Amino acid sequence: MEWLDNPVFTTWDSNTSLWSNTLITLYMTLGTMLFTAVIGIPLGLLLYETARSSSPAARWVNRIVGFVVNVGRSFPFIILIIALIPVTRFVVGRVTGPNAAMFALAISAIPFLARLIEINLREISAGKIEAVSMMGASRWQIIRQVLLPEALPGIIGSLTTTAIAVIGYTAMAGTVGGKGLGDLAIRNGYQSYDNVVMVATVAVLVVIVIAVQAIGSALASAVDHRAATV
Amino acid sequence: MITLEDLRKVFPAPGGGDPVVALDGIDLHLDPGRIHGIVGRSGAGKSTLIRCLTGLEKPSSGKVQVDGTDVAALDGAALRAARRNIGMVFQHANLLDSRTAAQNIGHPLEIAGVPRAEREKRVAELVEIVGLSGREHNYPAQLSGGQVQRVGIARGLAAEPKVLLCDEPTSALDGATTAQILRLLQDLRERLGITVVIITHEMAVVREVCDTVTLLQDGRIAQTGDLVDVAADPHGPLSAELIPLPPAPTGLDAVIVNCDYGDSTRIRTSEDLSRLAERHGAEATLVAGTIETIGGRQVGRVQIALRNDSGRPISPEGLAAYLRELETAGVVAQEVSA
Repeated sequence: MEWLDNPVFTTWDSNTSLWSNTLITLYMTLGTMLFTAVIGIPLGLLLYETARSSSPAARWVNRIVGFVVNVGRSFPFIILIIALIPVTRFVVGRVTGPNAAMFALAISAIPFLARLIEINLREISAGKIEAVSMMGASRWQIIRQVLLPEALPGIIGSLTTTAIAVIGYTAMAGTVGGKGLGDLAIRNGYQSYDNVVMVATVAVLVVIVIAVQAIGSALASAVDHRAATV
Repeated sequence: MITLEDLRKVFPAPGGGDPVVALDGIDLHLDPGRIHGIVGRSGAGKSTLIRCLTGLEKPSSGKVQVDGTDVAALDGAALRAARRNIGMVFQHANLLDSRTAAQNIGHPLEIAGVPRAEREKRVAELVEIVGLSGREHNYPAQLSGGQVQRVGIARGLAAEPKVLLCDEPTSALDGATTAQILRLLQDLRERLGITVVIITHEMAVVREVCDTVTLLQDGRIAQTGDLVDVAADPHGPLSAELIPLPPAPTGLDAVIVNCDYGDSTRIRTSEDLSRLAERHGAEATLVAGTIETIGGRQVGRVQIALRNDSGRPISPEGLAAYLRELETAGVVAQEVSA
């Protein structure tokens, strides 16, 4: 059991430790997801609402937002981090560390989530919306009482998918000194020819992804009343 | 209760071609407290008519009055308020899957801002009225097709509308369930005095529950009136659809004639047809027939085989004379080509 003496297991220093970098990855993922959800869900709703509106102003908003979202999604993440450095300095106050990385992660995840939310909302049948419009509901009541609750299982699924994508992107956060499991695997594993570090970090990432997916699926089916469960 | 005046709806053609005239001058008056059927093939304008009634679509011209308000002239909050006067029932019910039966039923009240306690009381009443007791806390996915439609009807009634507008309410249901839902609609009309409009392509639904029937064809009204009168009018397009005949028998060595005797005073039964045939030296045998009692009146369409004394088909002259006489008696008779 010599391999267990590796500093990856025996230290708590974020330059070498598996444990502290696991916490950093979880912290970056959770923090990124918080911002991504708060901005991405309303943005998805905006894309959905403006696409179906007959007003020319709304169609322009849809075109502009759609364009920004597409540009955001086409940037390779590593390039996005570097391109965002001036903005990150302005918003976060510094360009290195986990918080700086989270900013870039959120900028990249928000358009991704927004498109998924738009798809979730489109799956709601027009008949349901028409039925509630016929009750004299306002647009806002339809959003609150039809769109969001009916799409909730799908929205949870989209958040899960986005969170897993974010976990993958955190590997590149090391470029700006963000640290985390991916960074540990590259620097102390791959570049130092240390297979123990490689395997250990990947194993922890696999466990985290499986856990996130399991929690997401469980939450989604808890709020999904479409399947007959008598 | 509902008055349509010269209602027209024209849609611009998507490719820039000729515009599509969906409704072409509809004049219609529907009395309160009755069940009105609106029938027509797909593309006849039924859906556009509903959408105009509910203000989901603005008419190109004409008036749409529901309980004294011109729906076509309203917008925004006024239109939303007017919509609460119309309860709507859909083919697939369109319930929200995220709400239980009771929450779906109470939804219109929630939107109207009715306080919770009052809402719950009203929902309990409605659950009782539509016969869903014990199932009110189930989600739609846990209910049968008929139960889902009962929730849909209860929801349509929740805000105590004057009109219940039903768009193909039974088209997705099996026969026995259809009969139950139609009985429920009839029962509601009697208990609540509500005006019911049923849009359907099923003639059986019209025969079963409607007091009046309107046939739409190419965006125009082809026939309208009380069901009894329409069914008994052999010249109108609806009688043959309301009282369909079984297929004509084949291989008979005789002339086959379809007779629709509507409300003719001289010809009331198939015996009357036989007696008349004898006067022309022919024997009439009943080969197929449908006799329906609609609104307490017997209305029938029969098919008869005509032969002469020696068992051969009736002569062309005899047939012509017979058909002439039937016509003067007010019967619509037509030879079935072999």
